[in-house]
Amino acid sequence: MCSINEENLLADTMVATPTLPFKDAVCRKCRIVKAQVLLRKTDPYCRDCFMKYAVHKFRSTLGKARALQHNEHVLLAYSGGLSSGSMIHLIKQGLEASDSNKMKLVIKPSLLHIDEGGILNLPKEERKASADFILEYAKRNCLDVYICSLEYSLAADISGVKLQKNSYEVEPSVYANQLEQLFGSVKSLTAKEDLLLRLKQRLITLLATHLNYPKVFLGPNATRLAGQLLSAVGQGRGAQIAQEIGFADSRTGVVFLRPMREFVDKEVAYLANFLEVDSLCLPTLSSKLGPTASIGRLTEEFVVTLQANFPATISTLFRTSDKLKSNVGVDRSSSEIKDDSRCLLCLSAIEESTLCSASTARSISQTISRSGPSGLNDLESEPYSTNAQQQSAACNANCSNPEKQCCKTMDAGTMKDWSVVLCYGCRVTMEDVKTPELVPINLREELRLRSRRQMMRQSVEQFLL
Amino acid sequence: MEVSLNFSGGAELLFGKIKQHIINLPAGETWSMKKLLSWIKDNLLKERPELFLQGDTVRPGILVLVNNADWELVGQLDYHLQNKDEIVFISTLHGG
Repeated sequence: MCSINEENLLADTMVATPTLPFKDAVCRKCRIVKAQVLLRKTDPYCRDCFMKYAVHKFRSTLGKARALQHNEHVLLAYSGGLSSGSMIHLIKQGLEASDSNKMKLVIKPSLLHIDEGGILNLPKEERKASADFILEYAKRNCLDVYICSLEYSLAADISGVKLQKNSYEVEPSVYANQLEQLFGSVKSLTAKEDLLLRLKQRLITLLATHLNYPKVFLGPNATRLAGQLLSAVGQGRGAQIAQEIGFADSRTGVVFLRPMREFVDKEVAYLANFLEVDSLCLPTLSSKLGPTASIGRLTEEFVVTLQANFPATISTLFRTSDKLKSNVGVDRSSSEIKDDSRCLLCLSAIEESTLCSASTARSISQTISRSGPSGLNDLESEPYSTNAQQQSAACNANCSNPEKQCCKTMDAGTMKDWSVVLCYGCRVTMEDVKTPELVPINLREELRLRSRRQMMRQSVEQFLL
Repeated sequence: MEVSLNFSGGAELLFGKIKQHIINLPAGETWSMKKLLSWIKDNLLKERPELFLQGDTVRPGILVLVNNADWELVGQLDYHLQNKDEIVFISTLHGG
């Protein structure tokens, strides 16, 4: 007979890493010097051995992925925090490497900083002070720096963006109001954080393309990415995990790389301390809020608390996530995914909503729970679009009939209609945005265009060989 | 007894954005880290104590260095402070 003794089970599964007394421990590597650093709760290292280990990990992360080419122009996204600051110091060290057996890092880096003060309601002096800190920092490290305000992510193209090298003034443009309005109209903090991420991505891509930098280094460390992994799954972006938290993200034309990916937050903190990295303290949207303020905060709290007692947490999460690759777009280069099947906001491949897909199942169950089985009948009679959409899709752009509901006056429609232009995760985010027209993705036009193409495809399907 | 406290990585947001605090603790008492933490809570922490402390110890995600060494290597909460010690609190949850 199978009997599981509940108490024993609990005790067996909850064995935390033992806290051995490490007072005056000696470095486990060189065994000579007294340890200064304690990793993974059980491994003491002295300062020099730790630095060697960290630098080696950094170089091998870059080298393994064969991400960089000789003399390539790289943009370093610097938020002012410890992680990106350490990244910059490590790169500088790599550039100046005098070890003859170590390969010298040969790239041409520049710094990029995005001023988010607009949405955080920071006073002008504070924004100016932060910008000055960054300019000073760049000068000290002999790097060029570009600082751009977040509001320019709403610009349609680069011509609307004000950008100068090595200097910055806080001058709100016409987009500043729009940005405030946009973020003001978003209900939940989760959606705000997601929208902020997408807008930053958009802005960085815009700038990198304009300045001709094919690669961008981002600074998030393993702990942050682990939290992002869980919140991505929670927000319906499970299919995009490989790009959201993997080493390389090539959804946009520019390649985003995450070289600090292998460093846990504790290691980054030690690194920053030993490299004497100066950090800029900038609040974020979720600063000083409790753990239930947003999904991101909750997962961060969860991961960090668990990691404190079980140091294998983050590496397990990463190992598992590395094996989860999406069916759509796997190993396909960004150019192979047709433009029509890309989400407008995050540029990932939109999941197919065929009869047997998860998104169709979800929308069916949502309809039933909201309007009962009768709602299901309505759903079945119009497979992929509403009546209005069908009518408007049929008329051409030059129609001048004032009575018929014309495509020009078509509403953005319900969330269901957005499935041709946005992936599931972005749809969930945009549902919370009350002023979707402020998001610079040409929602209406693309929606119209793609729905009409889809209708056309459906009608011609039977005749295609 | 003079002790210097440094806050970085975002922790300074809870301490009025000031990164370095040099404090004088009344002599004649043995100051353990535990006692220091409750002193900080009463005297320096401006807001949201639960974002810095959790029970007796610091919140997970905050790294404590005593004279540039991990505090777990010197006895963690039981470490007794000496004059001119340098204690660094690094928040690893902020900034990327």
